[in-house]
Amino acid sequence: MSPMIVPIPTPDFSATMPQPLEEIEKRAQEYGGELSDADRDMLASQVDAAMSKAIDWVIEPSPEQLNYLAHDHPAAVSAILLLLVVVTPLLSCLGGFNQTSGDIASKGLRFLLIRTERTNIFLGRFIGTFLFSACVYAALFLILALYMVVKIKLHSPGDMVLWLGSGYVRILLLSLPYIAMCSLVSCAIDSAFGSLTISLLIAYLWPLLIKIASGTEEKIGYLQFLTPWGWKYWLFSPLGGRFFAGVAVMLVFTGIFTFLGHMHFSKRDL
Amino acid sequence: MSTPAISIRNVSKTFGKQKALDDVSFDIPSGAVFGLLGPNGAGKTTLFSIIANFLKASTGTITVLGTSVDRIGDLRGRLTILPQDALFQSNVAVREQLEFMAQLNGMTKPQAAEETTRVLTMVGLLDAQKKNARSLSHGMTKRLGIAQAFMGQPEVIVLDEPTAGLDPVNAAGVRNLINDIKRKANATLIISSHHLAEIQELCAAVAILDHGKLVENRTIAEITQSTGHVRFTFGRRLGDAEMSIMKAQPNVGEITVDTQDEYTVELRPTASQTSEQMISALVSELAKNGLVPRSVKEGASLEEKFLEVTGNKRN
Repeated sequence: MSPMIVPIPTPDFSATMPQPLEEIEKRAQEYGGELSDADRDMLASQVDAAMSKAIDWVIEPSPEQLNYLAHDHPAAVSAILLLLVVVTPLLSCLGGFNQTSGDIASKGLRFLLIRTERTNIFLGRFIGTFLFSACVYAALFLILALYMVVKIKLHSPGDMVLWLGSGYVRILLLSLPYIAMCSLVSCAIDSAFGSLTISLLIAYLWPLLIKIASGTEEKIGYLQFLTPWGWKYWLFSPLGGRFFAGVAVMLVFTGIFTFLGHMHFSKRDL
Repeated sequence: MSTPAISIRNVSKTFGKQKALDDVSFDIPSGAVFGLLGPNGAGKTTLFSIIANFLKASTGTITVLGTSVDRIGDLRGRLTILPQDALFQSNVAVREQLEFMAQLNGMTKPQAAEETTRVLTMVGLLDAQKKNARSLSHGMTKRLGIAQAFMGQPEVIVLDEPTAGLDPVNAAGVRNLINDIKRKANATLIISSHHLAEIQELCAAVAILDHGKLVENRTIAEITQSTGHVRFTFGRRLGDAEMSIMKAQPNVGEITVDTQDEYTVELRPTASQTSEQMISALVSELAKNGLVPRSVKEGASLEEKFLEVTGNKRN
């Protein structure tokens, strides 16, 4: 039996937003037929092609990386992961901006300062924020996994869940330096709102300015590498060396921000 | 000589260009109830904050129980403080916060629960134990602060204005708590307050700060008796002749009319007579001349001395 051509509704929009397969099956039934395995494969390849284009447009990857993201792994999942990469600094800032700033302003830390070391407070809040973020991401990825496996059904559940699991770890690695940066900013500024503002400016305004400036002078683009933003896609590199370098860079940024934050927190007036 | 509970050496603290503390040095003896006085902005809270390691001294050192406050963790459970304006976590139940603090002090969970019940009962907040801190009134929050300061068996308790903002009943309750601690435990208490009568009632010694400098550090008895002044209350205004009789007495210097019937007499010290003997002789001489004072009080009140050393002497 030759594959049945099922029209995908609203052409351009649907090309980037995969419709749940049951929707498409419903459409297929309206047209008097059912989806065969070949139909499903074809649909998957259509969606993958659209996702591949989106990935190519967003991150301008090397052919190897594009292949890795769009062909070696479910492209729809890759696209979602890359979207999460972009919002991870935002989520990390929202989760981490008030690690200490609010309590410094209210002097609420004073009840703890005579009962434990400053190091314990600083690192405890950093680790707590990271673990809380990990739980939030876990819930988010669980929902994504359920949705993709139960509703989208474009790829085998195993492929999608494995790639989502791997993406979860990579997103957590990316969130680490941003949470550490928030620790530093939060203990340096006695206002929770100020801490959030500064954190977001560092997370997004800096890369934006570099991006704009690199339009006139290409070498300015290298300044992106002064923040974790410049290295974020290394975590999704098909090359083992590059991937591990990306992991190392994230850990180094985390170490630097944590060290600076801890040093400041240990010496400042509270 | 025993090690002082708190030893403050050449402590200065600057905020920008403003010097909050200027080379302050003194010791607080172990087991004492010690008052720290000073007008607003004198540096009391700053000094307390440095003792508790909230603030870092610009220069100088402070040791508490022989341990530098830089290693405040070593004093866990031994030093507690009622900070002046610190806020509790607004959305966490009172009991939960105290139990957490008790556990940080090194208690086990059951011990922390028991201790929390004890201190909440002590400050009359047991009924409010499940309330969030934000729903407490100012007075209740102050009492909660006192509760956390009295948790466990601290050896040094620092209370920054413990009765400020409390109604008279609760303020008296806090004074009773402090007196209980004085009687039962060998803890050192350091109290700051603008209520000088309270300090005079509770404390054995005081230090007075003014513009960041230490201007007085003695026992209350020494401070109030060191003036060489005796206050007589006669119940009526004295006539010129009676004033002359007073002035004619040996060792009597300047006489100041305080109020309608109160007179402060300056006694000139002699090597052969104690102040008590001088007062006794003076009262006898006055009685012979028909001047019988209703009350005789030696020395100035702490308030008068405070106003004097801080440059705000009353006219």
